[in-house]
Amino acid sequence: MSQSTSHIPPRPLPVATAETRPFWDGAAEGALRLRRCTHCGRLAAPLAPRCAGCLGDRFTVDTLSGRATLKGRTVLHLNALPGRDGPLVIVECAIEEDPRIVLIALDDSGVTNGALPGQPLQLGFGPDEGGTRFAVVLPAEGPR
Amino acid sequence: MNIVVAGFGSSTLERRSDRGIATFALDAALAALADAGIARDDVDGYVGAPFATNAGSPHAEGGDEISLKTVASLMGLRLTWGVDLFRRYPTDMVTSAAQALTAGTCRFVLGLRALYVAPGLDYATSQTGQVFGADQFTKPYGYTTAGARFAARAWAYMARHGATRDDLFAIVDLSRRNAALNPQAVWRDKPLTREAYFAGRMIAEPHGLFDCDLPVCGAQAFVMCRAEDLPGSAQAARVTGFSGFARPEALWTMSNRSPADLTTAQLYDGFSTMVWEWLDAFGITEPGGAPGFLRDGHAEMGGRLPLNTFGGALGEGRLHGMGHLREAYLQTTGRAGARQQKDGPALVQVGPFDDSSFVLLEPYAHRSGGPSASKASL
Ligand SMILES: [Zn+2]
Repeated sequence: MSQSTSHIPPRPLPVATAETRPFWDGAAEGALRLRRCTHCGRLAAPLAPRCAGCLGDRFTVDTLSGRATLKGRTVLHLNALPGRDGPLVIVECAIEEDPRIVLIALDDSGVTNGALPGQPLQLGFGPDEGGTRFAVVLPAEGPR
Repeated sequence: MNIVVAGFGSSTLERRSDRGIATFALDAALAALADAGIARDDVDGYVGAPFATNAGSPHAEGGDEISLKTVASLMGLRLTWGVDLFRRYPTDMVTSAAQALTAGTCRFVLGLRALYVAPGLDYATSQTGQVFGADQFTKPYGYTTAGARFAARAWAYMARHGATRDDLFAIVDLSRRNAALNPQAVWRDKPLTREAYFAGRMIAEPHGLFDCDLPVCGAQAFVMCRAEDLPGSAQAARVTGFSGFARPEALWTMSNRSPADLTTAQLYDGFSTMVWEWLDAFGITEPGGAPGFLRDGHAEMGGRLPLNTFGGALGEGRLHGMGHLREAYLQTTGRAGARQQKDGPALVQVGPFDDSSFVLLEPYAHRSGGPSASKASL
């Protein structure tokens, strides 16, 4: 209750809608969740109002593996997110269950250093920041 | 289609200015009217595409953006038709103007785009309290800052095709050398050595400082009309084709041309690596072949396909493709001076890989009905 009203969190906080809430609710529990079309079975990107395949609007919510492959990567040297030290390693992750769906995450552990496109990744969620947990690439844990 | 670009105008391009965006806009508009040989009261159509793209832009009307309503009011325009295209590009402005003219909606369309660097702002930031819509999946990761998404794509391209930062320097170097022949380019007197290029600080890898175009205060404007309305003093370029990125083949179908017919290409280069996209995608080069095409000198003036002959946005300054359109107009009207390449179809591509649009301009034989006029009749 003592939080200053002038405090700007270092990371912008998502304002969820009905479409994106399953994703962020899953994130809060550390789980990657997307909606799956009940008609044709295709996964929907978090923002999609309808299934991109059949345009259906009925979904179930699936918890996914978090496995993904590296699609793009950059190291941003500007201070885009105040409060974070050093360059940001920003990665595009094509999720395993449907690589047409690409999620952005930070790599804070260096697991993508020297990586090539297509390298397998494990997506997870970072610590609570202002009530939200953001996507991160998890460090490698040896052979699974 | 019998539609021409009848004139072009530019303001000065300045890195900072004490004058506001509207002053630059009107300078460009009046220069375009003078170039086309028409008066303010002849203008009955308008097309703009005002949008300040920096992540930290305030989007303030008359501050860093200027819309139809303000331009029409400040210039005293009496328009039959006018429109601002939301988050679109100069190529889309040409398309809209051509359609309005073809429909007979108006006689003389003024097209204008102005950009401005507002003082005292950090443009390269994702800092904001809350994020809505698509931003919620990008901005908290810094992905919307400094072209990070283009950098991520360029990284994958380079890894896949073995391109290096020397291939990026080849683009920047070409831009600076071409800009040296463009009197209004912000980098006209600033050649860049390889050593200086590599000494530039990193922005978003693989892009360093010199891989990013320079924001400027400036505006450029054009006049379009039907060929039969072309004023006697005007130099015209015929619009022979246009299309959007999802159906690029429509550009060639409409113009009855192919990429092999091009004599120049002005390809959008807000970041250096963006010029690779459509060299590959139009089949001018094999997939992954664009860096080699540049490295081997084929994009040089006098080469197989001279590229960004005015210096591109990397050499002239960030005008979001207006400079590319202007150069295609100057090339097709034989007015490019020391940069002049041979006559023929000039390609203009503006926008990112997933949102580009295209225009093809061709020489127009002034009232004589010469070979270039009859060739492209639609
Ligand atoms: Zn479906």
